Amino acid sequence: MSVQDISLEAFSQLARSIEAEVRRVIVGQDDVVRGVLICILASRHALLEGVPGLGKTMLIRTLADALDLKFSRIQFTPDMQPADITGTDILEDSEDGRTKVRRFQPGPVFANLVLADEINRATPKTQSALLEAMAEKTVTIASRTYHLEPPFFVLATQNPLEMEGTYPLPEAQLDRFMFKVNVSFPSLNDLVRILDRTTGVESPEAAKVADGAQVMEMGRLALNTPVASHVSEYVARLVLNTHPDTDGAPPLVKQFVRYGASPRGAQSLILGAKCNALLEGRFNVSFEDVAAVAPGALRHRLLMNFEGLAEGVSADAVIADAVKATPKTR
Amino acid sequence: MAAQSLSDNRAVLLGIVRRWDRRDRVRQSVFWAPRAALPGLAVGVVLALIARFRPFLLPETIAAITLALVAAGMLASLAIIWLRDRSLLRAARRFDVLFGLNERVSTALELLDGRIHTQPELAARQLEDARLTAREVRPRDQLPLRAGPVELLALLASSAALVLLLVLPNPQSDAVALEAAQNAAVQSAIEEAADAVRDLTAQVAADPDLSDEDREQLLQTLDASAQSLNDPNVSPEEAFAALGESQTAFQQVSDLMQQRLGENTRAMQEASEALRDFAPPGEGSNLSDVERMLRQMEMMRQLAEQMGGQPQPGMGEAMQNAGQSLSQSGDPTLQQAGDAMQQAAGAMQQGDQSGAQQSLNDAQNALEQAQQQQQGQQQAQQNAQQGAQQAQQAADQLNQAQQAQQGQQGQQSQQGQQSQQGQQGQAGQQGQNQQQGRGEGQSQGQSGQSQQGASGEQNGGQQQGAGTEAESAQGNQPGALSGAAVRSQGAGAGDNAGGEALASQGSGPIEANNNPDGVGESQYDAIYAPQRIGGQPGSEQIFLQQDSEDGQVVEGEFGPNPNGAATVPYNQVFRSYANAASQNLDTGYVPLSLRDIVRNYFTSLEPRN
Repeated sequence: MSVQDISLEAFSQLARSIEAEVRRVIVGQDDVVRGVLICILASRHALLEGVPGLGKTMLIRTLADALDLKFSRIQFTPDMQPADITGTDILEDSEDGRTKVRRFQPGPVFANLVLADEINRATPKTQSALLEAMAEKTVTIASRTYHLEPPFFVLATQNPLEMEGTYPLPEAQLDRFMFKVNVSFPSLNDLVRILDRTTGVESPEAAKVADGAQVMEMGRLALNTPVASHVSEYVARLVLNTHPDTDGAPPLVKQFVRYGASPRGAQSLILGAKCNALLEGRFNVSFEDVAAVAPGALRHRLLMNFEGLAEGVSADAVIADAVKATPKTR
Repeated sequence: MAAQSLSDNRAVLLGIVRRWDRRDRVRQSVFWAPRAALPGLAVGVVLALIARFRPFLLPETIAAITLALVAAGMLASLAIIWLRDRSLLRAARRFDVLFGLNERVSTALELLDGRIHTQPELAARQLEDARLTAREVRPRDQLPLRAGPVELLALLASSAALVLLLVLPNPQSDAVALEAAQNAAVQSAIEEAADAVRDLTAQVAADPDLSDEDREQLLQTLDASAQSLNDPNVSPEEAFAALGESQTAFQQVSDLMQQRLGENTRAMQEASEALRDFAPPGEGSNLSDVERMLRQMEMMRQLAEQMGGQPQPGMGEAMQNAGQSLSQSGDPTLQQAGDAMQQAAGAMQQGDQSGAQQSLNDAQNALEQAQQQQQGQQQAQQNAQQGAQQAQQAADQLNQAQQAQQGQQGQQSQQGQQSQQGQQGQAGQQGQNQQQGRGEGQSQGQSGQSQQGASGEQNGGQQQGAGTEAESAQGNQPGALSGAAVRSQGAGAGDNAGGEALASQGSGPIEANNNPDGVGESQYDAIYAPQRIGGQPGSEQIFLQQDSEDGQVVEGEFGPNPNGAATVPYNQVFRSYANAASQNLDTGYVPLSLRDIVRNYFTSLEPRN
């Protein structure tokens, strides 16, 4: 199936179907669903952060069900080894039984949709095992490189509260996630609906509405969404304004940010805005698209300084200030 | 087909954006018009307020300035709004934000311009989406033609305030109008003076009786005066000074010529006296000295011929004395005649009949030539005197206009009452009459010293009707210079006529050691002569005439004045005279050492009531 084979109508239909199927299982969390879907359409990775029990794992599993993708879940623990993720060579009898041969046993990373649950509980060594897979979409073991079958997404979760015995992700690894999606506690109505939906005899399940190939084609189409030059300049100015040394940086950035977003953050903004525009039924990227994806794209890329950490200033507040302070035209 | 569609979309989108842009410029014009007009109105209100507290500008002028500023402000705002170059792409970006179009139009224009690219289907859908969305925009709703209410209120308030300030009676308006009229009169007088100087220059350049040296001196002075008067920024004082310099130059030339003529006349009188025994019988007393001498010499030549070479006793000696008198004159022609007469006397004494006849003929020829020269010099002297008079008349006109203006200003500053303007004008008119009288006296003084005294009496009679003693003394001064000095002093000089100081100083020649330091001799300008000439340096006492204690100041309308008495109350004319003196003190033409004397003089004359 080529890019031309999927029309804009098909894209809109598939996107609406995916979101509809997810919402059959997941109550509320529209922004979370939209954020994760954007990451999937852009063939990038997402990091979901929230306290336990908010449905992070359920959301990812439901997405996997709706997209008919090969799904694997890795529950990160402190004693987990890299081979537990990537796989390893094992010795087994040859077919004639006369010799022993070495055979690669793929790990759980060899899937289309990988759920890295509580990724911050693994040691950095194990966490880094995902680096190559996330960046290069390959796995190298014993001098052999194995390509991961596209599409490949890593959707990781982490718990922000239980910090004891955890290993926070280093900035380099955080930067590989396109979005960091905050999963908030549901509202009263949403909670009631969750209770109704999950405490009965039957649990809703998502139907498969798209396969991997369609997802990839949707992603390619989304990446073709035109971006006006002044919108691109706005994104660049916005990212620069997250750096405290920039002249136009807003006061919160100057006061509480130690280091701003990377160029990869700007890329994530454009990619996310493109997908968001198409999901909104538009065929061009607007400032609103950029503003909509800015928190998810930038919040894990801002390094707060000591004052910001001590004051408890959230990255979202800083980003909102930067969005507000950045002029849309020169 | 696709290209046609793209072209259509582009034309449609560009047309829509242009329409929005025009609407936006109209909206900005309406919005900024009151703001652009406000500064001009504010300036107008400030000017109108200032004009209410002091003579500043006429209401018409303020209105014109305000209108000009308002128009300039609005034109500037319109120029900025309509001439500002804004590309359609920039306009589209702005309208995307303004109309909430989510960058549809600007993205479409960039796609059409090839600035950005995407796959054709997506581009076509985007363009179609942008076109449809743009057509749904209602510019009249999004860009209403409204001015800010605050600006409108400020505009109305400023306009109302300005109209009130301009329409309501302004006590300063009459003063401003009068000042403007007087300034125009002064300027007109300066222009007339410049014309007079131009005419004088032409006359001097064409005068054949003037010597080259005198002509050059007069032309230089007149050129300098003409330059000053033609200067557009010349002040009345500078114009007056330039005219005064011209008048002085003419007068000096005239005096020099008069002196030369006097010397020649005296020499010929002495020579004629020496030859009185040889006057022909029945000679008329109305002959001039030259004619008389020519007849005497003719008589002597006939006697010598009749006596056959034996001259009549005393003839040679008389001829010798007459020749010596003529030789001592400064005129070369007369000297030549004197030398010839002395040679004739020597020839007679030696019995050289033919030599004596030849010398007598030479002397007669030289005398005839001297007679012609004397007539030319008299004509040149009269021309110079006439030039001085013309310059003086121009200065008088200028002075009259300036005095009228100063009298009005002084009245405004001191009394500020409209009712006194007529009286002040009356005083100015009287001063004008006095100056004209002095001009006549000057012209009469040219013909002889005896007439100068008469003109002085005429001046005194016109001014105060007193002080004949002083006027006769003044008549002994060089007439033209004295007259010029009195005129340059203005109306204030008229009071000097009654002072005893003038009587004590009324002597003719300048005495030795007349410098203020008591050493040496100095030639003073005649304007200061009454205080200096003839008096002892440093010891001069000036006794000023005081008004009597019981003197009644009469005001009001006056009927015919058959007795020639002063009909204007003293306290009314004093201020204009004092102002004239003060102005001359300020212009710097009065030496520092003498200014206190002038000030004290007018202080002593100040009316007591």
